[in-house]
Amino acid sequence: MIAILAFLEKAVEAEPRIADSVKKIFSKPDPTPADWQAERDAARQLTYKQLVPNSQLPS
Amino acid sequence: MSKIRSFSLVAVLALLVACGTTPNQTAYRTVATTRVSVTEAMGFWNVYVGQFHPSADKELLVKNAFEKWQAAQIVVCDMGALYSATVTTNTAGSTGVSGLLENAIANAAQDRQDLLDLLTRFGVKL
Repeated sequence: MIAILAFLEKAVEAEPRIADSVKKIFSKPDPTPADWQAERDAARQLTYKQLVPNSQLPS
Repeated sequence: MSKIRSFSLVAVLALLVACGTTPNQTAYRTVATTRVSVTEAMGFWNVYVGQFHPSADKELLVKNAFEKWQAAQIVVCDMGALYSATVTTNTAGSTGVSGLLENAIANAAQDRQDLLDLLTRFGVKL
């Protein structure tokens, strides 16, 4: 467990972008239906073209 | 930054989700960190596409796999909202909803794994 936490600390320092996202997730108290709805919206808003701007596929 | 380390970060955090949390929190954290890891994986795919220009057929396969996971993720969130509501109001049947939520999470996890396996098969170093 200590080794995992040590690794986590180093990885979080090296990847602040991911760390910020996950920190927000973990700091949330018991999620409400509205929190679940927000997570739903976050997933629904993702598009292939948005995530893969180098794509040759038509939009 | 090592791709492996960034993925490992999310994986380890996912392992820690169950420590001292409610089932609702556990489910939410699992689902939300899964979205983060899928977003990261698609970023690696984007770099690969820019560098190696895979065929449209391959891109379509990845697109379809991503959208399959996305649909499953939305179902999880719907079940999560329902579970959260039943637990909050102590409505009878929360156990049944909990089972539905677990199934939905398992389905989304499988779809996520299918996407990652596909990317790996195409040569993306995750």
